[in-house]
Amino acid sequence: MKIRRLVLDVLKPHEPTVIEYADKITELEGIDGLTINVMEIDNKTQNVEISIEGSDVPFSRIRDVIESLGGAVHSVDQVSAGDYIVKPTGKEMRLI
Amino acid sequence: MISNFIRGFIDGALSTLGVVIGASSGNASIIIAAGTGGAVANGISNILGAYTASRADRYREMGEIERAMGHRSLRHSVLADKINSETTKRGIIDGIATILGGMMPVTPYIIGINPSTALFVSAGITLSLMFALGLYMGKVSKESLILSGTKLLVLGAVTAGFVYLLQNVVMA
Repeated sequence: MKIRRLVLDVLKPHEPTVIEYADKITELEGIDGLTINVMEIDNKTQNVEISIEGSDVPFSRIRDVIESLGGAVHSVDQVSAGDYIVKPTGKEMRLI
Repeated sequence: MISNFIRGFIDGALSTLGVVIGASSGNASIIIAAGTGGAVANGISNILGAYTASRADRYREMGEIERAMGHRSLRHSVLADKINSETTKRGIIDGIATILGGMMPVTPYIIGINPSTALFVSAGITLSLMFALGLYMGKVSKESLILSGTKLLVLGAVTAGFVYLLQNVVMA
């Protein structure tokens, strides 16, 4: 199965920055682009949402990169796989 | 890193000036040996001291982040690598600056200036460097240059005066 789109909920320290996360993740093969949104900032940590798209998004290698940078994947909030990305129904769970 | 350089340089310059003043009744070779030996020993000690202190501080911060991350270990993460590399650099810069600063008061004796005037040249060089460092610190921290330079100059002069009194009055 080829993953085309992945949305991850990640908890990370303030350092390394989201820019370094973006830089390291986009070095992986199979990724065409990503967006990182900072959802919550705490005293020592940040909760970020990482949305990744590509021809064959390598989830386990992305998780390894995130962990080597000191982050932790809390959950996989969205996954799209197959020949094309199916548009969500709009009824997906909204996390507050 | 610049803070480690400044701290080490001041430490080396003032402590060696103290050694030079303390040994000033001896001949030039004794002053050179005492000053150089003191500067190098102080530098090596500061490499270890700055590295250990800085590492302990950064690891305490990392421990706080680990707790905030739900007790997730960061010992094998980029953060730990960064801490190790940064604290090693800090230690080396601190130690080299200590040796560099420490060599300044000894220089007049090494280049063969008359021992009767070398002590004053040594104090003059050290206090001028203190003033110059003060100017630089004032520029970096956007404070009054003259005030910042004078602060370090006075600190150096008080240290030199204190050691001079100790050597020539108390120990006489």
